Order: sequence, then structure tokens, then C-alpha cells
Amino acid sequence: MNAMNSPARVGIAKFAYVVFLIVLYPFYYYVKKDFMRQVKKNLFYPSRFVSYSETRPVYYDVFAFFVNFPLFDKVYRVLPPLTGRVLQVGCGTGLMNRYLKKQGILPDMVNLDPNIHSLKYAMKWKRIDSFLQSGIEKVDLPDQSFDTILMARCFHHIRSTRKALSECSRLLKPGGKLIIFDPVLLDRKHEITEAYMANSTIDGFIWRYSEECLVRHVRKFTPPELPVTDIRAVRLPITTNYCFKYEHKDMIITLTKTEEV
Amino acid sequence: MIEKVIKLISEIRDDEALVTELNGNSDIVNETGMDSLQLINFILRIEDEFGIDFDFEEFDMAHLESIERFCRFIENKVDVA
Repeated sequence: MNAMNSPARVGIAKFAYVVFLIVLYPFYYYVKKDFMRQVKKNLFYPSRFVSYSETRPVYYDVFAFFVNFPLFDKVYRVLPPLTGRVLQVGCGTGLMNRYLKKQGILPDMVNLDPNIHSLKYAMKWKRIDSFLQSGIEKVDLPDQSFDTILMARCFHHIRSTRKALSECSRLLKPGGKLIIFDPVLLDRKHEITEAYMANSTIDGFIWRYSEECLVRHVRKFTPPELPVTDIRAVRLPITTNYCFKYEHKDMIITLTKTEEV
Repeated sequence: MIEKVIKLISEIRDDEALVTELNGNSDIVNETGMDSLQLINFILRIEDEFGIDFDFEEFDMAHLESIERFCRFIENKVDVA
């Protein structure tokens, strides 16, 4: 346990979770009840919360406030330094950009997201000053454009891991790094045998995995020239990591593009 | 293609008997025994296997009423791709 995870900090995260649960339960119950009814008829039904937050990014910011409490955007301080030209995949409402700005770090960064509402919202709040509306499966940019590609808490949303990692490999310069920062389930009972995708009430279609399953999942789909070179796990003292039903921790996986022969 | 899809279902269910039990008329949702998570991951395996993308927002569950019908849907997608 490091200083960041002192008993007091963990206690605050757990207490905050209980308070949020009590306050938000009526809303959650309403959304969940509708979702359970509809998803029986349509496997792909997006919950009302997911539908609303697609077009109203402020919902996502509120969601992020609760799940990252009490660290908020300080969760990004576990990331390694971002060097050279950077592609941020799934920048969303620009929370990480806001953190970097506060730290006085202004990397040469291209911000990518498929959701135009989130991108406009991030622009409106001056968290980003430019963007490219696109998913990572196919990006309209030349080969070897970037030194670093960052997927900060978006990897679990990417449906085709194979296509995404292949495109990252194309976009990275030799020696360039892909950093995947993503939450994983704690899975104390070892019930998860492989990564699986689920339609969730609050976060839509997401991959779920344990620490081992995420690493296996990445290794399964990454092309040979983009191997995994570093794996780290931390457990930030935030509500999402210390909730009762789905305890999480945070993984930081680095893949490095091999130098050309 | 029907055989390929049935083989995929039997792999997901981890039940080799399904290869002989299922046929083109089998209902994917109600007769294969796949739960909702397995169904979603079956769709993802199909996407990966055939190099196609389904639009989840527009996906019509009627395509899953039989394996044969779903195969026709896949074939149309493959042709477009």
C-alpha cells in the first residue's frame, strides 16, 4: 500500500460511495428498471442514461465526478510522461486535457473522439483547442504520425480491439509507445476467465476484464510489431475502485512499436 | 456459412453436441442456449471472423430469428464491405 492509499483515503472513498449510492439510488433504480425491461426485447438497447449522455456530455462529466471522487482529474497523475507528438484516443469531454493544462503540460496533441457533442463541449470549456472526430479503428492520418498514443480510460469502449491496435501500430513511429490506462475488475474469486463485452446500464457497451484477462486480451489482438513492454497496476483511492459490487483497480499497459530493421 | 456460424455457437457454448443439434432454422436467441453476454460476444466474434461491423443502434433482433436468416444478413454485409 503506498501513501496514496492510506486507510484514511480509502475510508473517504468508501464513505463517499455509500453517500452517493443512497442519494443516487432512486435515479439508478428508474434507469435500471427500464433498461432491464427493454434489454430483454433488444440486446442492444442503450439505457436512458447512456442515450442522454451521448448527446449531453455534461452527464458524462457528472458521472466522472462521482466515479473519480475524491481525486477527480488527479487520477491521470499515474500516467507516464507523454513525449513527442501525441494522439489521445477517446478524449471525450477533455478531462485529461484539463488536468494537463493545470499542470502546465502542453503536449503537441491530436484529440480524437467519435462523439461530436463531447468534442464541442470540450472546445466550449477550452479544454481542447482542436480535434479530429473519429474512432481509432480507421483514422484519416498518415502512417507513423505519432510518438505516443494514449488511451486514457477509453480502451474498454473500443469494440474491435484487433482493428484499434492495428491502426495504432500504423500511426506510431518506430520506437513509439501506446499507453493503455484502463480500469479492471478486481475479481477476487477468479470468476472471469476471459475478456467479455457487456451492455451496461451506466457506461453502455464495454469490455470487462480482470488484470490477467486484460493483458491476455491485448496480447491476443496486438500485431507482432507492437508488443507489450510494460505492465503496471495501481489502485487509486476513488469511489469506483472501492465500491461494493464491482471493485476495480487501474492498469497501465505500454506497448512499444519495434524499430524498423 | 451456416456450418461456420453453428461451429462458432458451439465454441461459445462450449458444447460440441450443438454442431449436430442446430440447423439453419434454429432460433439464435431462444434455441442455442446462449445468455445475453454470450450473444453479444457471439456477434463480436462474427464481426471479427467476417471483417464486418454491425450498427448496434440500428440492429434488428429479427435477424437472429434463425441461423439461416442471420447468415443472409452477414452475406449482405460482406458484399457491401
